[in-house]
Amino acid sequence: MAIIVNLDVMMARRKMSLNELAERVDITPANLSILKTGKAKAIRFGTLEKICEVLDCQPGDILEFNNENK
Amino acid sequence: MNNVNKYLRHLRILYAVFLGMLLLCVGLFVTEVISSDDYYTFDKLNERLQKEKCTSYYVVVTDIKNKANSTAYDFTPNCSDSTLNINAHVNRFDVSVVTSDKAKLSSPLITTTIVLQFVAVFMLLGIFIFLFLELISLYKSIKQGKIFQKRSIKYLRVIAIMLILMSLSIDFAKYCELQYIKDVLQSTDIAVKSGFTIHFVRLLFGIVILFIAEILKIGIQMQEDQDLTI
Repeated sequence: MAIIVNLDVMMARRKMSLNELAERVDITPANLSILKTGKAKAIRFGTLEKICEVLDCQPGDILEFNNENK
Repeated sequence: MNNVNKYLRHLRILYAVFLGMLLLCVGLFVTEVISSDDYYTFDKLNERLQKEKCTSYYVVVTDIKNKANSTAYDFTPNCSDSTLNINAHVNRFDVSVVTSDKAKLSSPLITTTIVLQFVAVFMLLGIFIFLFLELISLYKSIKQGKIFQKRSIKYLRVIAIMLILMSLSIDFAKYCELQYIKDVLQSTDIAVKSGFTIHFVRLLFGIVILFIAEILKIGIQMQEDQDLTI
C-alpha cells in the first residue's frame, strides 16, 4: 500500500507506549497494533483526531504517501 | 453496538432456519429420488382400449428381478379425452410392461438412466455432507463472534452446484426413462408424449442458494473492511 503509517515513529518521539496511547485514545491495543503495523484498511476521522490530540501532531506526521510502495 | 449484536443474532437465527429448511428440502428430494411419482400422458389409446371402454386395460411397470418390490407404475385410464395418466415409481433397474391381454414386455433400464440416478444420489449425499459442514461452520462463527466464515461461501457454492447438477441429472434420467418406456410400448399402439422437462423449482432453489452465497461473499468482505477500520 502506498500509504505508510508512521505511528511508531511518533510514539517513539513522544516516548509513549502502545498500551498508554490505546488507553488515552480509547481504542483497544489490538486495534492500535493493526494500525501501527499498517494492516488497517481505513481510519476514522474521529480516531485520527484523538491520536493527533494525544501525540500533539498533525495527520501528516502519522500518515505518509509513498508512490514506490504501490 | 448492542443494535449490531441484535441484528447479528437475528441474522444468525434466520440463517440457521434457512439451513434447516434446506436440510428439510434435501430430505424431501431424497424421498423424491427414492420413490418418484412421474406422470406421463399418452397421446392416444389404442382402438382395443376404446372398444373395451377402459374397463380392463392396465399397464404396470415392475421390478422383474425382485417381484416383492413390483409396485412401480399404475395407469389411470381416462377415456373422455383419450389420454392416460401414468403414476410411476421409477427406481428400479428393470422394467416390464404388462397389458390387459397379459402380454409382457420387459427389458433392463438403459445404462444412462442408472448412471444418472447414481449421479443424483451421489449429489444428494454430497449436499447432506456439505450442509452439515455448513452448520458446523455456522456454530464456529457464532463461537468466534463473527457473522460468517469464508468457508461458508465455499460450502454454499458446492451445495448450489450439486443441487443444480442433481436436478438436471434427475430430469435427464426421467427423459431417458420416458424414452425407454416409449420404446417398450412401441409394439403396442399406445403413443407416449415424450419431451425433456426441467424441474424449475429445484433449479431455482440452486440458483437462489448461489445468489445467497454471492451476497454472503460481499457481506464477509464488508465485515473484513469493518474489522480493519480503526
